[in-house]
Amino acid sequence: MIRFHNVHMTYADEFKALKDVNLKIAQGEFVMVTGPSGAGKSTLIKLIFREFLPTQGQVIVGEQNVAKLKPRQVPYFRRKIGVVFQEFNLLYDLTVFENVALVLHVMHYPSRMITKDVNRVLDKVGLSHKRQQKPWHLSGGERQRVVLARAIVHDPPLLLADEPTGNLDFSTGWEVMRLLRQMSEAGTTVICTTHNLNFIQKMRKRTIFLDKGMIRAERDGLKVC
Amino acid sequence: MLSNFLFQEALRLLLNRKRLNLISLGAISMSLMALGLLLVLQFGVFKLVDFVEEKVEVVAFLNDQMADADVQALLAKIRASSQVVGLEYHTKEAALQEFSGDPALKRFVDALGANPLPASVRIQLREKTADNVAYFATWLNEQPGVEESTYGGGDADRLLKFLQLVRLGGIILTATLTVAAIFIIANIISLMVFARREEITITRMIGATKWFVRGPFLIWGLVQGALGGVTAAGLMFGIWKLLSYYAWRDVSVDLEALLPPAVESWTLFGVLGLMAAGSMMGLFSSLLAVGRQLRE
Ligand SMILES: Nc1ncnc2c1ncn2[C@@H]1O[C@H](COP(=O)(O)OP(=O)(O)OP(=O)(O)O)[C@@H](O)[C@H]1O
Ligand SMILES: [Mg+2]
Repeated sequence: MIRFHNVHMTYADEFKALKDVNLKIAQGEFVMVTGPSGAGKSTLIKLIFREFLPTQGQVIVGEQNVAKLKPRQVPYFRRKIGVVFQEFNLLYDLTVFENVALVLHVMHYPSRMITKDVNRVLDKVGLSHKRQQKPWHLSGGERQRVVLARAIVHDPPLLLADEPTGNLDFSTGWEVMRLLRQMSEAGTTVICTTHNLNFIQKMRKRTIFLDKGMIRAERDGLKVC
Repeated sequence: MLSNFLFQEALRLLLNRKRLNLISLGAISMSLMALGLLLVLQFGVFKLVDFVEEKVEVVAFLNDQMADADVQALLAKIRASSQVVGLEYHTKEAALQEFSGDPALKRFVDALGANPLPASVRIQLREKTADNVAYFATWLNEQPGVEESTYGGGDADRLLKFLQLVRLGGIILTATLTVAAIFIIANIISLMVFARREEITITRMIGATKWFVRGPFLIWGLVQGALGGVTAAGLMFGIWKLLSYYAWRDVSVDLEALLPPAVESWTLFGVLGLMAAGSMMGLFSSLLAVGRQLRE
């Protein structure tokens, strides 16, 4: 599903965020990515949904080399991926419903389907009753569940979650993790970054340790450390 | 593909930032008003020039000693010219009678005893351009029996030149205001794009096409332009009504009488034209601004 071949990412200011990363993720896999702050976790995620191109090497998603995408193909490529962004949060002047519906508007869904799908996904994350609220009336955990709902409302085959547990405490964060696992069990390929080792231990999924832009270690799923 | 969503977003742009919306509306209306006045002026210039040209005629004063047969020969010769569309022969007696209409002048002529006025031929030309009229008058002067010929072409010519100058001023004013309005609108859109940069980034990250992101801003520009057109038309109408009211009250001039006969349809065309021009301006400005802001 996803392959990285000798990927280097150097930002405009000459900072090397990723160095010679090689990676293979199969369809349906659940992969956790961890490492200290600044290790390059977000950079890795952004390369997958082509926020930018690698300065060197190849990133292949599905059968598609992302560097070969024409600019006008990029939006359609992104619609097949659900993303929980680390830094872009919800829009605070829209309701919960409207925040999630935005994805389907972008894809030109008819409004009847939008209502149906958004209600279904809000049900799934347990927020149906808050659908007309604005995000600032929600708790941190609830907000993060809306963000997740927005990422999965169009049922993408690939879900990228960059720090979806952000600054949540363990039990609210675990709620989000359980939803991710549910997605994975339904066949979605999931890549999730976190710097919280508790989640890594409890999830027991394949884990990639990044440090200073390089893969330092990999651990297979189900082994307890 | 235009969806309801884009219109809702455009509506949000129109309603959310009241002051920015008013500023851009003001800028568009001002420049459209200048454009409107320019068009009205243009229309007025044509009417005025027509009016002045209508009165242009070449008059040839004839030698008193001319024999009748010679006069007839001259008239026939003039009539034969392809330039001439109308001709009137006024005898000395007719001139005197015309002259005597004014009691003061009559007393003056009576005092003279004899009729001092020459016979004349008044000629309407097909083309009343200044050059043509002057050329014809020169030709007329060389004919035997013609003492002198005069024409009023100079007035029309000077008036035309003056109005052309006024029109040039109008064009410069309109162009300046239009450029300023486009500049203002483009900057306002940049502000609005900036205020929504987060929303724009998110929509792009979840797979919005460039046109989807631009859509609301383009619709906003179109609507603002059309509203500007209506505003400009309304203001011009108000100013006109005010002017004609005071013109009638203070100097008893009926400005309304100057209006062309089919004024209703002209007004409709004018309003629609201003709306269309405004929409083009708004669309152009927003294309300019979002093109700069949302480059891939
Ligand atoms: N747009 C950018 N321009 C320049 N440098 C950047 C940019 N984005 C990230 N970096 C740098 O690249 C490095 C890796 O950043 P990245 O966001 O991938 O780290 P991370 O592992 O996600 O960290 P965190 O756990 O804090 O989210 C950091 O040192 C960061 O300063
Ligand atoms: Mg990060």
